[in-house]
Amino acid sequence: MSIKLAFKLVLVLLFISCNNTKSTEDKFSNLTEAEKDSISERYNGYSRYFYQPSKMHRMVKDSALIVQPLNVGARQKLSYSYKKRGEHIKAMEVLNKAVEIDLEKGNVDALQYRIWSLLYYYRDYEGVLSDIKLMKSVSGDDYSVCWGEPCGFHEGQALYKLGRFDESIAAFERVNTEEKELGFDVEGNYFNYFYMARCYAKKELHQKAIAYYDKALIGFKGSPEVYFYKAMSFKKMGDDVKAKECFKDAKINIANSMEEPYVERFDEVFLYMITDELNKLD
Amino acid sequence: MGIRIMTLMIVLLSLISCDENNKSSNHEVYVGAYRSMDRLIPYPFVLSKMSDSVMLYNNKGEKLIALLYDELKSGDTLKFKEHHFYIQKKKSEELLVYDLLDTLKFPNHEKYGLSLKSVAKFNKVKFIADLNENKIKRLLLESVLSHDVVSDENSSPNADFKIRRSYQFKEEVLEELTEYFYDGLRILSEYEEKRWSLFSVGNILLLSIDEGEDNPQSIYQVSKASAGEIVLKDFSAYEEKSIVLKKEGLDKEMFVELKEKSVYISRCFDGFQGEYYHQSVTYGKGNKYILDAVNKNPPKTDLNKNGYIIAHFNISCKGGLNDFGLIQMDRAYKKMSFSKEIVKHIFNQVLLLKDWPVDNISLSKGYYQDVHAFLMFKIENGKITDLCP
Repeated sequence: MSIKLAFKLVLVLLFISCNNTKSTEDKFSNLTEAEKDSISERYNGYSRYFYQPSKMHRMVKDSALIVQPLNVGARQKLSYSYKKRGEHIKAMEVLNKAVEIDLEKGNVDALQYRIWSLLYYYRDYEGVLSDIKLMKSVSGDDYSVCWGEPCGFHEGQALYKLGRFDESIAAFERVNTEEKELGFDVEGNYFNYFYMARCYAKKELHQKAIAYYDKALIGFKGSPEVYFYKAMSFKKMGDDVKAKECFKDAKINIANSMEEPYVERFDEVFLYMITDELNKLD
Repeated sequence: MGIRIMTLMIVLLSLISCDENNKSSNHEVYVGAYRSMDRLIPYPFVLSKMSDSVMLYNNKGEKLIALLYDELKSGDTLKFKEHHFYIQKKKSEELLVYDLLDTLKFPNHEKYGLSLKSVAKFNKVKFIADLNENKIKRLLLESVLSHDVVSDENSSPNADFKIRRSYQFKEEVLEELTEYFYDGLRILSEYEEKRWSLFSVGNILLLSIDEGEDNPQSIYQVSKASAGEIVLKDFSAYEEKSIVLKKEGLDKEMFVELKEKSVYISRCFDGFQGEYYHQSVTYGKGNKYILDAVNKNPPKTDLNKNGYIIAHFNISCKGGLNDFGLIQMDRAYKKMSFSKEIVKHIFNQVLLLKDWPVDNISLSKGYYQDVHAFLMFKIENGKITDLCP
């Protein structure tokens, strides 16, 4: 069967009910894997023409997967549509299948995306640690990136949220060490130092926490989060004057807060929190 | 019964049937279902094709203009005064159309041509006998009518709420009351007022909602009516469905009583909602504030249960929440159920939240004004411990 003919067939398939999946899959049994990959990718590309959280987008993605069920990229991206729409049972069902297929191929890309999702979307900290362990066992890499950020950074945040502060600090330090070896300037690792400081603060080691807040400020001078929590440490230490100064700095810089489009980062600061603290000190 | 009588009856029946077919074959009526294949925005126009002309009606049943025209064909353009409908495809049961004079809704790129996905769909509707407009109007006005809402592409995601919508038709206004039930308990209800019209195009009886041109609403076909129920055909989603309005549900007194307890809602654009992340429409005071709020006097239930309660809703650009949905899942991301007490508690608290950044929504341009959002509460041993997004 030529690619052109197969392409026409897929066009028809787009509007066939999902209930007919089995019979339509059979229609592609004569295609080579390369032909299936090509058609599937073409449909994966077409789906981008439609609004990502829409049913139409998913229908085109489904077509890509009917032709080539092993297309991990299309399957993973299909999960984004459900996730952005807040249909999380379906989102995770689709993503878990993508991870399963990817791991069978010896790849960890989908797993790395799942680590990001479990941390920020599902606040599933145990799941993050378990997936990081799995990822390391499959890839054998010490340093890897999970959806734009070092996986070790995700590990550190998960441990922080689980209250395992010493392990969390160790994870953040490992990221710094690994990045130093890779030639990165770790002085700019604002988030790493911020969450290390948060760990020390939770351990009531406020002097040490303040030292790490200051390291974080080297990476990002205008962080309201750093000023706010630094102020909280001063307050705990009984230094209301310095606390007030830092709260004021937090307020001045509130427009620079961590604000992410999809999720809220841990310990993001909001104006009412600063105002409340300043009122308490007045 | 004798053979002769039976034969006569069959002949008579076939004649009646032929007569009805003739009515419909001479006169085709197409109801605007939606435009934009992925966003499904209501397109409330009606095209009426007689043997030698085409007429265009608006959603109030007002005839806008007529054209002399023989036969609707793919590739033709119906040049009404304010709408040039280019028929991209005529199928047996539908028309796919672009309005060439409206390049905002139907973009026409200099190099690539018309945007394929912006197309508007008109459904051809069938003539249904024995529907009397005056009689049906009386039926609509005389009692509260209710139906169970079937979720579709236009609804907030929902797996676990049973949703009942009730209507009190009045001469000038349609009062709409939506109740959300979980495990037999009414969790919340919302109330809205709209304008409505009942009108005929040819022999086709149509019911439409009118919120002005900036907030287009669907047109429904009345397909059945009796003292007990009225059935409407709804073309607003990919699959046509029937809305069966029944008297059973609320009486007029209960309706008024419930209306007083309900959240009054008003939407800017029912046709399509943006998603929360488009303009960072997340709660102005952040997750910790919401967590502190929901953890005030929580019910002591579900002590052995772990999972997530996801509260879905739309944020109106006028402020306030509406169109709710509920999805529950366990820690393995499979369907599960929490108690009605904790579900009600969470929604009660969510309704009290007032710091939604409506200003951010008003910044949006073009195809949406209201926003769909969700709050995913993590539950550990019955305690609400975390929140996303």
